[in-house]
Amino acid sequence: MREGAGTFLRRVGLSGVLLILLGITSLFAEFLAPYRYDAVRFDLPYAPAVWPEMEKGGLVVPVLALKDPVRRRYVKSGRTVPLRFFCRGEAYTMWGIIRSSRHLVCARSPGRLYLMGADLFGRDLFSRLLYGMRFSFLLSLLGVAISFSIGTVVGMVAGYAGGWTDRILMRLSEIVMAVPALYLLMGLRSIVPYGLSSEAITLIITGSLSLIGWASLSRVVRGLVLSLSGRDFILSAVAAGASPARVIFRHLLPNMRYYLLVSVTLSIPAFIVGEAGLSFLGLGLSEPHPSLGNILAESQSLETMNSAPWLLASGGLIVLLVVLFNRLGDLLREVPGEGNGGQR
Amino acid sequence: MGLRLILIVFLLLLPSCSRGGAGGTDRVFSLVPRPSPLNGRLTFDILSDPKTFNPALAQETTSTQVLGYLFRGLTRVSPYDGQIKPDLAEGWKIDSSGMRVTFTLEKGVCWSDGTPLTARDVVFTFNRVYYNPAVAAAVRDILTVDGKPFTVRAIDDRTVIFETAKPFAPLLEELGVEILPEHLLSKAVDAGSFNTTWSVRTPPSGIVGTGPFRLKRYVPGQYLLLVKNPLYTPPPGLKRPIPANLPYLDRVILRIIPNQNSELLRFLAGKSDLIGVSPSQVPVLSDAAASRAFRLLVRGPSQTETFLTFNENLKAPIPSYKVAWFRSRRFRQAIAYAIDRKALINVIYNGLGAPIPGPVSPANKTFFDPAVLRYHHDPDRARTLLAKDGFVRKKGRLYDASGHRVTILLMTNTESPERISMAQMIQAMLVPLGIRVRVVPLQFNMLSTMVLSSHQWEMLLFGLTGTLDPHGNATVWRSSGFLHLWNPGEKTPSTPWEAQVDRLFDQGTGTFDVGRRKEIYAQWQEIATREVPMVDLVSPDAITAVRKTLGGIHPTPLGGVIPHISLVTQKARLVIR
Repeated sequence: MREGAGTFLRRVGLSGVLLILLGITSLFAEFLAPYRYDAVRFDLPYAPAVWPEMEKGGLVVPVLALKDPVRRRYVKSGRTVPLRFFCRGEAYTMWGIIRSSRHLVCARSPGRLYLMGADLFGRDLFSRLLYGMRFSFLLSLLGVAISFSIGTVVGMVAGYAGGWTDRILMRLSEIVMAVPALYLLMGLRSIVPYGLSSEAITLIITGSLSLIGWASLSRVVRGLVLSLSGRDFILSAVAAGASPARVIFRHLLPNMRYYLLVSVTLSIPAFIVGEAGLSFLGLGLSEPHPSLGNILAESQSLETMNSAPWLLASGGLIVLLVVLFNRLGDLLREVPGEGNGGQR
Repeated sequence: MGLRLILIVFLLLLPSCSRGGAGGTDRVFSLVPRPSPLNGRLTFDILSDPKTFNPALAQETTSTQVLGYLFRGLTRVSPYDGQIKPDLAEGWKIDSSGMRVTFTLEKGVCWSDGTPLTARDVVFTFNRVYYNPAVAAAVRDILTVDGKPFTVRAIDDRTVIFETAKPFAPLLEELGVEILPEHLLSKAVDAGSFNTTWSVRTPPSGIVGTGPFRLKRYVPGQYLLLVKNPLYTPPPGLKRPIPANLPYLDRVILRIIPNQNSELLRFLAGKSDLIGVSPSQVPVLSDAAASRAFRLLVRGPSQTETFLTFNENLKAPIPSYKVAWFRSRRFRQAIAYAIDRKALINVIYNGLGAPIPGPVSPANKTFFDPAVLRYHHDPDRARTLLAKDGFVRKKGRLYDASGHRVTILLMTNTESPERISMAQMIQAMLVPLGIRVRVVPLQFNMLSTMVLSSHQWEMLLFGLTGTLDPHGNATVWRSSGFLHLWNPGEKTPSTPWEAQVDRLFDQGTGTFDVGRRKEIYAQWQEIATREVPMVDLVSPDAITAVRKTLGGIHPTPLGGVIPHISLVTQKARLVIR
């Protein structure tokens, strides 16, 4: 299991490195984002990207002025504010513990640094994407953890115990798979009372996504267990008097780890897209909290496409994350002799 | 794998939003004059199917819009100044007591099946249909004074007398309700089947009215075709720019397109002649106006009143300290001062709108009182008002005198994305006061149940369409009113100012003199803006895009761009190159 950093990098490839970078970026969203996700500027709706410029040897941020509110046309007012680094800006509490107001970059009001433009309420899209991406990461990792725990346990129990246990558990997973996922999610979401906090809604979305995610995995795990339990090393472990728990955890599970790792990476995208789909339909995280789906939902009308096409960047980010995770899964699978369910 | 389905659904949604941008901007429309502007065709889109063709039962706007072309009332309202003009009636006399109005019907009016219209039809419409408890008539409530119906009698074939229990000033406006044919409908009323008569499944030739058009064909989910009614007698006093029989148009086609984006694209492609435009659609349209041969007509602020209101009901199932905040005038005024209406207009309506000063729109020149208390954006004043009321701010959070953190649920309806955005902006605008607001969008039916029956709500963002005569506000402002949202169905007014408003509405309906009525309703507007049970917000400009081929189009402050449908002409043909 021990590998050097070089081996690790070779194994995860460019997509793995990119994902780790994106993950770290979103983990430090409070510090890296110039603004909070809910910091509004009602005088700058759908403002275009504002990049720092060089002036008199320093970086400055031009101040925008709304020239035509009907078409949302902006002009540079001629004023500028200096761009500062490691500066004090809006206060935040990172991860619920670290209180600070340091940001990587800030520009004093009335200037506003928009790396990717603003949304309808003048909130910085870049900052919102960072927070939204973190939400997607957290939700998918948590969701995968839950659905994999359920899926693996159910699959192993069914495969190892066989008989009626097997039949009942497998029919149950087939029932879960037979229900159309989107409608099930919408149904689950609608029985939840209104006016809940965003944390509670996050948990509910994660829970409901995991609730339908475990079934297909449990079937594959069961198949693996069935094929493995006929092998000599399992038979000898049983013959040597090992308890079922020992057989499962010491002999079966380690032999499936590569398959599980691959399918974890491959099912994360499903969670990301699932969250985005729910939020897009207005059933996920609610405003002002950002998620990749509800940012994308903002851009669905003809008018928004016309005046703020940059909001589609959120869709681009979803595609990027999905592609990267799938690529990572493929890379992991390609490692010779290890990706096919413990053939050794 | 089940989750992959979502991916597919999701990807299917993407192209639907990206299509519009590339509407084919290279096409240019040109106009070729028609030999005569008469006998043209008008096409426009409606969002949903009509639910009924029975004017007495129609409630939602699609049905009433369609039926407005097929049926007429005794009076009509001038869209220019709100004055009451004769329609089926030739004229009327009000006697000195103010309780008796005598109408004379116009000569020679026929139903579209050729039967002459008589006073018997008017009596039938009121006594047997609108006042019939077995008929689900939506207008019955407005056709009463103090719960008592009008007495309607026919003297001869052309004379009808209306008697009211008290002098009732809004009577003339309310007699714009549609008159129905006795010879076709009396059987259904006798048989008790009126509520299912003239449904959308009735053959079109069976729907008989006195309007400028008659129904020719209805294909559910696709279109309605209206054709000229050759027996139409125009109302007295309607000026004809071209000496020809009215209506000038031959056909009106209403296509049913259940999506506003699609309606916009159809208009841009030249498939419809006019379209109501929301301010956020203006940037898309204004670039195309010249090449697609249309005009954008801005008619000033629309008649819809958008407001915030608070649950002041002492029996409501919410914490009683919250009701206490909402019953405090200073608290409501503080909220009113905290809202930046200019920002609301700029962000939500692209700058095309105006703040609403009070319950009567400034466009309603007859009754608007310029002396109302206006709320501009003044957070300092809001803070002072809250401090005077015993609220304390600690670390950016507001607490009331007994130590409860001020958090409020703000409900609104999900049907309008603009309203949800507005709620989110209000949420952000109350943060500087230390008030935490959570926005809860609900479907309209659910919302109205919570507000009107279970009373389980705290703050509400909502809109109501105004009427011309302030009497139309009685359902909202009378303490016993059905839509007295902040405290519905009170037996006795729970505050002195509510009692005063009740008295003013009583006086206002009983007075015929316009100047005196204006004074009475001005007092009401001043109370309304001082007590602010409803914090008025902003209203968007009413905008219509009209193809240049159409004639007879004039933007009016009160009634859209078509002053009278029978005067619309089609001057030119559209050629798409």
